[in-house]
Amino acid sequence: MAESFELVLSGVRKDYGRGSTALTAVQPLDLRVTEESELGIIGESGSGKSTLSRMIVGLEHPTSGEIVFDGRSVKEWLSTRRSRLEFRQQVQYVAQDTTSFDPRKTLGEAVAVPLRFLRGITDRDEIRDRLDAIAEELALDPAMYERLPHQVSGGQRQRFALARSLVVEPRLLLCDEVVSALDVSVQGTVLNLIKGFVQRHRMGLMFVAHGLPAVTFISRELLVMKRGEVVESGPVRDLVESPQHPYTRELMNAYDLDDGRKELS
Amino acid sequence: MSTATRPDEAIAVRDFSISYRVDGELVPAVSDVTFSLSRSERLAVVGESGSGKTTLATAIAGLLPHGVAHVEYADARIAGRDVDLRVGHRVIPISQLGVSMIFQDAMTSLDPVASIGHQFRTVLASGERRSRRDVRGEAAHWIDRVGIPRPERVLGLRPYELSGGMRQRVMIALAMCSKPAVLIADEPTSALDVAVSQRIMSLILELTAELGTAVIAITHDIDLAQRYLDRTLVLHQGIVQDFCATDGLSAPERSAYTRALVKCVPRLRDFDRTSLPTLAATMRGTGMGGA
Repeated sequence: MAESFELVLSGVRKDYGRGSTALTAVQPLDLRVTEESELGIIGESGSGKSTLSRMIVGLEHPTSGEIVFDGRSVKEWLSTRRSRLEFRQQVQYVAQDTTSFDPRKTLGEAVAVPLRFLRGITDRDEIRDRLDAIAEELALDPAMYERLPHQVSGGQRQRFALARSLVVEPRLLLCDEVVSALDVSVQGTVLNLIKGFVQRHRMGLMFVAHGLPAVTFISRELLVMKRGEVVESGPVRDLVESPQHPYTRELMNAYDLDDGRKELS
Repeated sequence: MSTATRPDEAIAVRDFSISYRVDGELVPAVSDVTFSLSRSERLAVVGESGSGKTTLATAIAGLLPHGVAHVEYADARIAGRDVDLRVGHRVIPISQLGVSMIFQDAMTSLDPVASIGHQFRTVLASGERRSRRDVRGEAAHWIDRVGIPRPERVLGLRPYELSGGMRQRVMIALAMCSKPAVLIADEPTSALDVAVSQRIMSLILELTAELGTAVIAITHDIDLAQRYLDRTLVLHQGIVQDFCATDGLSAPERSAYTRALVKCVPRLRDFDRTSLPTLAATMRGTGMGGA
């Protein structure tokens, strides 16, 4: 069970470029996320949703405003090696692109790296036990730890990317388009695994995607972004049943085919 | 032996099979596919990764690499003409085959170093003598047609100077300017969000309806098929599971695999569910075994 935490964004804004060519990727934004959050972020390409999640994990820095995790700003967390590693253990980020695996290292070696660096576990037996435990939780065959990244399917690689993040028992998990490239047959499996894991371990979840049904299933709260601005937010059910902003309505209408489909007998 | 040709037939293939040569042996990738489409008809080819859907599309477009693949069929007709789609046998250029193809990533199908105008010239002036001015005028017309402002200016630009959305539109214009009988779209909207995806699909459907072009969309997105395409061909491990009207995909007479695949599509109102149906679990539930 993960400990409680609080992530607070106040007036966070991100600009790319300067002067006349400046582009505001994220308009000033306030947000609070805790271990109880299951927050979905939806929006079109360029709406700022990925920039937002990258700022939270410290891969980008806000132009103005502040991101505070457990009373310390992200900038401060990243300022020394020790606190940076501590922060990375607590806040984990999984991206769509699973090419982040070293092609020459087995998946087992890749998943063990964060255990060594972020948890300081060096005992081989303990590493093995933890790898087996996370494989069981994510319904992965531990025998696949011996394989290289290109020797497994895209869906399996995505699950190993999740294993690599979850093995360090973070308090907050950020998923950026983790199912967008997967077949519909695999999407359900990955979404079920994430939802189950987050609820069992009582972790905070931020789930960024452009595919709406995945987000409405996995989240309880929803943030709708357009051109760097949060146009609407609230409980998923409210936004699906009675969207207020025209853009949210457009998104919901685009997907709302359920009534026209025949359920399986 | 050819079967009778319908006057409005855009494409017809019978017993179409493709194998890949692996370590000297032929491994079947797609087996005995039979379908026909009339002009303006829209087909979705759906299936999981590795089901053979892209192989099928690439073979129909005559783009399979020589020496790697082997194609066999009883009949293959495009726009009423028998065509030779055997790998390495094709004698007519692709632009005259009557098939155009667009891809998920526009950057991979546009020449990165040639201007947009030059790329149009390659298609529009292939096989016939035409003045530069004439070709330029027609290219500008097509760029305007896909909704890009100031088309004359775009002709002088190279792909990297265009935004992602403009590249996608230029690719569609290039595919349609040869007025093909069949347009094959390989995962046309997988990388796009829903609003842009709607605009791109509307554009494709509008242009193809106008020219009487049949559409074959290769996709893993059943939602896309249900929204835009009349008929669906479901492939699983290279074998056709169903070929039917898209709105009948979950009918009881469909194969267990097709019905399971449709059931796995996440829905907007899944927020009360504790878990989503998965293909393996749904197949087990129907007594068909895991997929």
